[in-house]
Amino acid sequence: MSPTEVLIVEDNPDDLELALHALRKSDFANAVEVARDGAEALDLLLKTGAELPKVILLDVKLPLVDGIEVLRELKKDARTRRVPVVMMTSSAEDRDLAAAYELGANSYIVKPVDIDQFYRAVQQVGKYWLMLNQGEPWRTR
Amino acid sequence: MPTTVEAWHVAAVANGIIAAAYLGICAAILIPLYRTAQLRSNKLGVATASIFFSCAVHHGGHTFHLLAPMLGWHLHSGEAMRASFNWYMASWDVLSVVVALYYWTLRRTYGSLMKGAKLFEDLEERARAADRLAEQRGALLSAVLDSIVDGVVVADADGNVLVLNPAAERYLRGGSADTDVNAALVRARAGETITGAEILVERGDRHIPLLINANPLTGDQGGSVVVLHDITELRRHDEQRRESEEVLRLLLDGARDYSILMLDPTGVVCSWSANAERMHGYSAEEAIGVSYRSLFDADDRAAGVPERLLADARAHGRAEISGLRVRRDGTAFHAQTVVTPVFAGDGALRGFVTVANDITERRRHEQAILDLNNELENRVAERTAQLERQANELRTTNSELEAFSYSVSHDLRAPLRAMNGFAAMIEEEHGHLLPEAGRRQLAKVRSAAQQMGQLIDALLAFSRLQRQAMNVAPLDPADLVRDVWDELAPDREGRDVTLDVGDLPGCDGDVRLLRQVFGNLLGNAVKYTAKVEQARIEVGGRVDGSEVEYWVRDNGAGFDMRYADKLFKVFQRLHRASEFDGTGIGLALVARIVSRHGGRVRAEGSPGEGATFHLVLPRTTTDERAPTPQRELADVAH
Repeated sequence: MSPTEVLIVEDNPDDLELALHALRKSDFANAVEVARDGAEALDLLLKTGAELPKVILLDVKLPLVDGIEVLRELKKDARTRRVPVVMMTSSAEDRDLAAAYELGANSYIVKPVDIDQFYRAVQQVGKYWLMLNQGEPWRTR
Repeated sequence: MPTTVEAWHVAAVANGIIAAAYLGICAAILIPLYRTAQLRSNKLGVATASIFFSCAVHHGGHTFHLLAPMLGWHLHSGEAMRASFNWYMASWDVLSVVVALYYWTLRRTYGSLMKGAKLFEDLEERARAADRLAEQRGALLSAVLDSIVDGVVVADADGNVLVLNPAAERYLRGGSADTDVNAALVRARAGETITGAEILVERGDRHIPLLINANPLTGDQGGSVVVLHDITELRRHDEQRRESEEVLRLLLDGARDYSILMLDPTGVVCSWSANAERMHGYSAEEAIGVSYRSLFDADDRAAGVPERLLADARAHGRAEISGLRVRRDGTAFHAQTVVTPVFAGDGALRGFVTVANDITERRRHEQAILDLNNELENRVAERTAQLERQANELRTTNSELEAFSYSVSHDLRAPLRAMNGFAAMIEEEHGHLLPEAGRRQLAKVRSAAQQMGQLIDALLAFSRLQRQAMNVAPLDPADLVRDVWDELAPDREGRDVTLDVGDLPGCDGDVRLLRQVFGNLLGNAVKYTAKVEQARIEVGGRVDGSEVEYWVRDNGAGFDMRYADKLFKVFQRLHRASEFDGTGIGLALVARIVSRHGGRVRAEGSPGEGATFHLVLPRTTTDERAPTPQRELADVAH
């Protein structure tokens, strides 16, 4: 099994399926891991020895622990702090935008209603962070 | 007649001469003594005269005895004569002895006899000196009487005028004072003393006041003296003093709210004005002699305030205090007092002047103002609290609204995305299984979902606008138009659209919001000219007094003026979606933004002939922000 390259944190199964579909179309699907809520995402990432993805696609509105809170926890931890986080959300609320950038989000993307635009957005994010961006040499400790 | 001179002849003559000489000396002493009335007082003189008289009788006796026979007188002879002679002579001799003894007792005054002839000359001279003195006195008296300004009239017991000096003559010249002066002379003659009687005498065309004093003359002659004293000057000074006192009284009286009083160096009241009486209730008789401190309130007295006040005044040349004073009836009032020390020329403290002002009324007014202020402050505070409550409610409402729109945007868009997405997936993965009609229907599902997404976005933008604060600054609309026009390039692709931008005056506004305005208006113009072959869009502007007007004109579809009022309302559309798509939000947004800038919008047009949209904005927009609570509070505070 290839190492995790993308972690999608998404509670909405429809959005999740669309996102996975988009990634599949771009051949990024085989290294995708999914967390259904914020708590699960944190468990996954903060447990010792966990493998860190190259990029995290984080929904803002999540059950249990919302996206902004997840972001805050991730940026607090010395190990997860360096993983790029792309916020994916349905609306561009000024409040969320400000909070996300304040906490160190690397990108903030509004999920378009139009599916073609949505595909384009997901594929571009994947392309950018997984292929173009020169990441750090990862360690799994 | 005997022919030979015998011894007794000589003796007889000699004795006669001696007797005559002694008698002469005696007379020479006694006559001046008599004349100068010294017979009683000048004992030495009289005694001396007596010795000479005694000697004269003695020597006269000898002469008579010797000459008697010659004159035919047969006197006793022999023992008989001697006997008679002896007793006679003896008696005189005894007298002489007495005189001699008396003379001996006066031996200490003999010195005056050593001055020789002075004995007689002094007496004469004294008499003459007395005469001269009398003369000099008379001259002096008349000189004095001539030179004094007072009139002097002296009359004897019979009423004859003895003295009338020049001043008296002047006063009596007109005759108007005769009666009074005569009456005074008569009364004084009768023993009465008159002092300070006043009369008026005519002097030319005016009257001058005279003071009459009359006294009886003591002495043998009797009579009376009247002295007339001109008191014009005195009256004038009196009048002046009275006038200045009146002025001072008027001044003190005029300053009704001020009580002015004087204290001696120990703080005892020594002068008391009518206003002081009015203010404190004590009459001058009651107040003078009383300590100043008794005017103070009991607490101040106990605290030594009056003493400190006077000490301060003395030390600093002035002291001021405001505090309670007590009236005679025990009521208190508030006084503002200034105390000034009075120093004599040598620097010694003479006393104090205190000026007190009853400020009870003033304090009441001040208190009233204070109360009003407090009341006002309370009301402001109340209103502030009320506004605060409203602001809180507003904040609550706002945050509820935010939560609502947040959830709308998030939760409504997600299903739309799913609808659109899965429809697309069907099309993509199973499209080949669907007939043509099915694929077309699936496309309609997708487009409907997209349309709804746009509606939600527009609606959110509109509701966000209500909550957004404005940043007003001077801006150049020409820049905005240029930017927006560039952004519209994709919509203009493949079409013949010309834009004509006139001179656009600058204005104040929020760039972000006005960009939306021009974006909407130009976007509409591009959209509604889609069916025109040669689209022309014109943007213009002009200054109209304190306002600027901009317009966007197109030659597109236009609209029916009958429905113009619906243009700027949310979700109101004048065109069917099949003709021109749209959300019905754009113009509502334009109207809302312009209204927040303090301006107004209007539109004109007709179907098929294009439309013109006008915006009128204030040239300098007052910073009309969203109605935040802080701003409203600030307004109230001012």
